[in-house]
Amino acid sequence: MLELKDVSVRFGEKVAVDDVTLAVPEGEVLAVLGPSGCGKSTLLRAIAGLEDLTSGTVSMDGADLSAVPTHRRGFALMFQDGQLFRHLDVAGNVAYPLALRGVAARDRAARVGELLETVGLRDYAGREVSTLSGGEQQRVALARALAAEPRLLLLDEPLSALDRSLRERLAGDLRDILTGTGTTALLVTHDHDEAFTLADRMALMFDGRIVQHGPTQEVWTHPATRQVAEFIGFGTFLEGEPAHRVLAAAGISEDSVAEGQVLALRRSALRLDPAGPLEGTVLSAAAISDAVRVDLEVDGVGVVEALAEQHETVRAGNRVSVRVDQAGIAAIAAEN
Amino acid sequence: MGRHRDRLIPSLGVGLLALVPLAFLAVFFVLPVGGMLLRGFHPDGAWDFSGVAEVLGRPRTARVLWFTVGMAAAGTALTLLLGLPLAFALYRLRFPGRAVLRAVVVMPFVLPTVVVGVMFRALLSSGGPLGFLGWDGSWVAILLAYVFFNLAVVVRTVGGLWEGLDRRAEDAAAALGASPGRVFRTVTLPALMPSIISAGTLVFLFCSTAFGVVLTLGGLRYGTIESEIYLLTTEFLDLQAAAVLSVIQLLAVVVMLALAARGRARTEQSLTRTRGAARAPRRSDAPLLVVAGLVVGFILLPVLTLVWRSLRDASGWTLDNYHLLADPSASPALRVSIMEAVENSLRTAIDATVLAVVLGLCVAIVVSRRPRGAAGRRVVSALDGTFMLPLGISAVTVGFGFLITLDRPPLDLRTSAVLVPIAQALVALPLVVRTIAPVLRSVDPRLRQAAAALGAGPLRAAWTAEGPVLLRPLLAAVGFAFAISLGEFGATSFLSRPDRPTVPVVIYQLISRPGADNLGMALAASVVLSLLTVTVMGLVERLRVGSVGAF
Repeated sequence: MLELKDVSVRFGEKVAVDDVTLAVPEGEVLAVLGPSGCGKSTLLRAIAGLEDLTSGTVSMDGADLSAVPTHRRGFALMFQDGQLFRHLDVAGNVAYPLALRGVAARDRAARVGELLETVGLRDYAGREVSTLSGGEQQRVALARALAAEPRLLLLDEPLSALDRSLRERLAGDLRDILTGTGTTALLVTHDHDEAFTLADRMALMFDGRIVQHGPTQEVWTHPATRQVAEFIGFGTFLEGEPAHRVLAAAGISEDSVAEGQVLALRRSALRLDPAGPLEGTVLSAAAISDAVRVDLEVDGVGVVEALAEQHETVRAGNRVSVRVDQAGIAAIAAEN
Repeated sequence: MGRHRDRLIPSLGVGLLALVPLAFLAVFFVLPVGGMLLRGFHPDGAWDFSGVAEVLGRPRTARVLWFTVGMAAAGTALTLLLGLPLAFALYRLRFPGRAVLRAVVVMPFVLPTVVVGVMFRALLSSGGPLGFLGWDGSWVAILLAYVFFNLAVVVRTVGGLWEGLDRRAEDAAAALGASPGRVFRTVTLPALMPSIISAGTLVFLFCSTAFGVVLTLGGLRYGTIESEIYLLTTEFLDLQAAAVLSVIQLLAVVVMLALAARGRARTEQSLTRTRGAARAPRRSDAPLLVVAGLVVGFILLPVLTLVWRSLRDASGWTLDNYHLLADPSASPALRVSIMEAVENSLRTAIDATVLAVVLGLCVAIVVSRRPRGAAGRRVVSALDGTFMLPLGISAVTVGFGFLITLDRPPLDLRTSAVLVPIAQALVALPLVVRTIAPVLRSVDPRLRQAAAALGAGPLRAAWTAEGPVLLRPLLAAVGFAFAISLGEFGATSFLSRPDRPTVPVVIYQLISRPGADNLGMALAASVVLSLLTVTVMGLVERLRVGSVGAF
């Protein structure tokens, strides 16, 4: 189990990581999610021992790591762009940590074969890394990291450099492999889908601070602040009478948004539906991957984002009815 | 990036671009060297090779050959060994004063070889700070001068690559359990290998063709091929023996360049350059920093000794040596004052720099293309080696060849003032190419293809893709060419006219005469020349630092 207690990292005057306390229990995957520049990569490097802590402690299974250099921590690190060793072929990269761990040369080939099989690259052992696609390079990087049998796997935006379909497929595979091998992992990313797919728990990081930390599902449905809500995909924020109207339409008691709270809505919470209780005028509409995104002015509520079914034809100026689903709404503190 | 071959720059255009420097090389390199060889093997209108076996059979020749190769190998190994920690400190770490230290490290390389010889004499002779070691006149002095002179090559070549190396590959290896030493051996070193091979080749060539240093430190006792060619042609007038040695040297250089090119081709990778890879020093860097500090001390010691001795005479501190510089009648050895020589040097250096950089840029563009066909690649590789040739063949041979071939119509340039800048440009050309070409090679051809797809013509596309990264190496090349030209001695000593000597020639004239005044003036003139070149390099370094965003 990895534990961070009051960890801060400063570069001169600049505070990159500010008083972070986190834990990753054995076998769990934690995602640190935040915008670029929030300090999450510095946090990852600090855990790996690549940055000095200004204060606080990092410990693994109860043992303080402050005096343990990177290479004795028993971790592995996987970057956005793989960072494969270009002077070695695929097998050479995967065998690298095996050689470090003292695995006999004759046993390495078999182990490399198993690992490549795990990441779905069975016949790639002799390939030069420069001939691999981005997704293949990431798979090799993963095999190399797993070869170290790390106590903790650190992932720095492991899928961000890949295109969408590849990312989704590799995300699923990565999730299965991490679960299958029981690997404890810490992932930093700015992509909430990546975090949601891979992680058991999430920590939201802004300006060097962790602002919310909890099971992925809980963060997803109950963002603690407006900043978090916006970052994980809530696009509409309402208070007062408009909020009450939307709550009523969803069939939820008005009291569920208390004094000093605002109502946050994902666009998936508002759907065009002829039977819906709210009415409004379409301002604009645009097709997205599997739905139509609609900006509309709902009577008595204001401008909101909503979704329409893909086959529906929606034009600006149309009068439409809207239904509210409970799944995509949350009450959050008005200020933060 | 082997899959992304060029198809956008028409090979015709590149061919034309190659033609200009090739023509230059044909007239001002092949012709003089050929003329020189003809003198040796074709003395009386008929081929005569009987001398070859005779020259090779001489015990002195064998001794000279072994000494040249052995010393060059030892010098290269030692320079790499000491240069790598320094490259790490100056290009991987961030600390105040780094720019100054980088200029300090480059300084020896741009000092005239004659001055370097004088420095080590001043340092190691009795009365010098290290006189007690008894190294004066021994091969150790020559070896130290080799290292002193060539550290800049290693530090700049390797440092330039190291600076842009993505630190995360090393981080990944460390996290996988590799100790710092192991990370260096298995990740950093292989990544640096192209630049180490490149720098090692250059250093070996410089060491094996060192002339001024060997002449001033070794005298007649230790001869390298180069100084032997000089002695044979000027002292013994044995042109045939000189020609035989020239051929041996030329062959050795061609073989070495071919080997180096193969090594490079195997290890060269398209690099993703990153910014801000340099970091603040840590406690664990201490051992390397100590080594780097000692190496900087080793560089500074001869320099400071020179300055110190230039400011002293028998009675104590004095500026007399400097006052004499402006006085044309100060020494019977000189026909002009040293200030006039400085003017000559500057004018010559500007001409030589323009010539070398224009030609070098043409060559760099040509040799950085990656043609689609194997034949095209072989042509590019052959061109690459061809333009390195002036490095390997001695400046002495070039100078002497100029004298004996460019003395009759249609090219009677013996009395022309252009001869010196041309010879100097020839000497600087390979280095200009080596400074620019690797950067051009590291530009992904797809950038050019992207520009072309947006509607840019071939030239415009090349400019868009490669122009921005070209600024820094181009500035560095200008500075290098200028400084080399200021200090060039081997060829210039043959070609400069008595009424228009350059500063190194004047210094050599002074130190080759006895007398405390002459020595004092030589020391003072060396200081002036050193200040001049160091200032130029300082400006270049400042400009380079100011344009970091170009990468």
